[in-house]
Amino acid sequence: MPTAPVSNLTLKILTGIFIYIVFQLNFFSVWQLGFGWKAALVDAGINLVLQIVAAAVIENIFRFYQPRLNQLWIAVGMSALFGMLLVIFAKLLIGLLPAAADYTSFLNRSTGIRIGFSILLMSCISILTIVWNMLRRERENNNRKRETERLSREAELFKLRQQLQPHFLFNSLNSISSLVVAEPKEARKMIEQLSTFLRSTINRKDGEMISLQEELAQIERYLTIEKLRFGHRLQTDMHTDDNCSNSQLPPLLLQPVVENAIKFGLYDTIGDVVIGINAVCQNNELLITVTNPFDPETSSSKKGTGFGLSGVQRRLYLLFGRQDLLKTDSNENTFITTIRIPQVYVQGNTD
Amino acid sequence: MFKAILIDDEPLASRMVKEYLSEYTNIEVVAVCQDGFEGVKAIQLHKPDLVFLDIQMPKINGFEMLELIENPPAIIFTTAFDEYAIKAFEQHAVDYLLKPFSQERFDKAVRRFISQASNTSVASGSSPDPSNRKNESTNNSGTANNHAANNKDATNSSDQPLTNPYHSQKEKTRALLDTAAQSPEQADRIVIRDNSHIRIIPVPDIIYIEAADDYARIVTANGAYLKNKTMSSFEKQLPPQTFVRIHRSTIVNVTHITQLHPHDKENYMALLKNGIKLTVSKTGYAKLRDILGMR
Repeated sequence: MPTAPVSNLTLKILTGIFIYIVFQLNFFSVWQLGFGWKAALVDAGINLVLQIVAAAVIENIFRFYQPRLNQLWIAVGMSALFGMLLVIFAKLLIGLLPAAADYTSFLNRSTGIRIGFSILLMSCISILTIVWNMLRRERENNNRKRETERLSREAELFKLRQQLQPHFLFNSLNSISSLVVAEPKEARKMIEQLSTFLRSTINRKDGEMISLQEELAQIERYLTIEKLRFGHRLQTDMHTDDNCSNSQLPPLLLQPVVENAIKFGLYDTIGDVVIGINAVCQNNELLITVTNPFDPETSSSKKGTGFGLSGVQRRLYLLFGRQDLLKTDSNENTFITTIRIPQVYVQGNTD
Repeated sequence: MFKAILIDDEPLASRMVKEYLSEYTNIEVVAVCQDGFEGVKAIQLHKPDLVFLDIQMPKINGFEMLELIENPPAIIFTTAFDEYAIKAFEQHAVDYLLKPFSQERFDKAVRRFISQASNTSVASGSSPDPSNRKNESTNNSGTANNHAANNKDATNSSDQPLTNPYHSQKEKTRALLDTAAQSPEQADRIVIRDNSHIRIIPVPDIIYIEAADDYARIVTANGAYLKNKTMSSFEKQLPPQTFVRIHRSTIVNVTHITQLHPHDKENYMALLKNGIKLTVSKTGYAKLRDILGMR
């Protein structure tokens, strides 16, 4: 993430400054003690190279391994040990080079202080790297969370817009506008129906199951408005079995099926349209059949599975894990959509 | 006296337009139709001056209906919510009413029609006088809602002879229908008029389309039909993976091609399943190779 202030480059620069300060200390200490600038440079130089390599190793380790908070001290301890080994290694390397006797004895005497510095340096670098990575990860997580939230908000908005069905809403308002002067009572009735319909659409929650009666009442409101819009052209035939009184179904599931049937029926044929809705309960299943007329000659088969129905299929799958709950069929001029809602699962879900 | 026809599948919507129109003594409603089929018949019969047209209607939508009419009259579109339709209107600056609309907004649209119509009749009359034109421009600024259209009209009336607005109106309608034809609803079918019958041809049923003077000849397994539409607008409407313009005057459904072989120096020949041979130009051949090669 190039925009983050906790970038890798800043981390490298900070580490570099640490190492450079230690290098300076090393060089000038040795020089001041009178071993000549050459010996001082070799001494500090070898330490510098080893420290750079060590810092790179530490950075790479922590890039892939993020210690948990209670393991932090172990990580720092390991770095300290690493620092100690570094000094011993440096001492061996310097020992390989030809050197004056007093320098060798100085090297031996200063091992303690060298180890001290090295431990300090390595611990600092590892703590810095760990904290740095922690900050960066947190930042990335936040970004991801924001992105997810944005996506789900967008999805919600889309759903809301779908639920409001602008085409239906504006046409209904237009019908009301037309009724106002000549038939004010009818207009008022339609406003009431539309309001009740919209209110219960908005109030619905996705997770909860609702009773069949409630869903059918909502659909009836919808159909009343549609009947006012289309006049005698639209007729409905609704039937519910007596033993379905306790049946439940997910909200907003039957609605799109009925909408699809109406749209299909009204826009694919000319003349009167009868929409049939039939609910039957058997074998612990609620079986709802929706029928509408269609014209087999002009309806391409693609439309048969219905644009609006794929969402229903998807929801049924998510809720019940089954692909066979929505079926479409057609005979001659009638298109039949069947949905099955297992009642056992429904009860299990509401608990 | 102007004759008007109302076409809307919702009776209440038509009733409102009729009510709004009752204030105009010079406009008479000669027919109210509930779908495009009735609409085509009524327009042929009454030859109206003005049509109020809904977009979403049974079987064929308002645009498809309009495609079937040779010399479309002035149209005021009425629609509730159709993304594509509104896009088409905006691009071509036609007047349209979004439902529900007020009497004021309705009056604005009708006034605009009246001013344009009287303008055309002046053009067909003896001599256009400048005062009339000036008058027209003030009228136009009154309907401030359609700036683009006004500008266009203003340039039309000043740059060109006054007989032209009618012609440009036809062009505008053509361009509008081309845009509307790209909507997903219209993408998978073509509506044609076959004598008095209206047919809806599913796009996959088309074998090929060839240019025939001002018309296009659409060939299907069940017969050939003529439609007053350009090859390039068909090219835009039909899915490019299946329909390829193999020649200036031919668009073919590639699923019907069985053989392709060189014909003469310039051209190739495509043999279709039904035995028909079609000429393929060099560029057409390149397009075909691309598409068939991808499969």
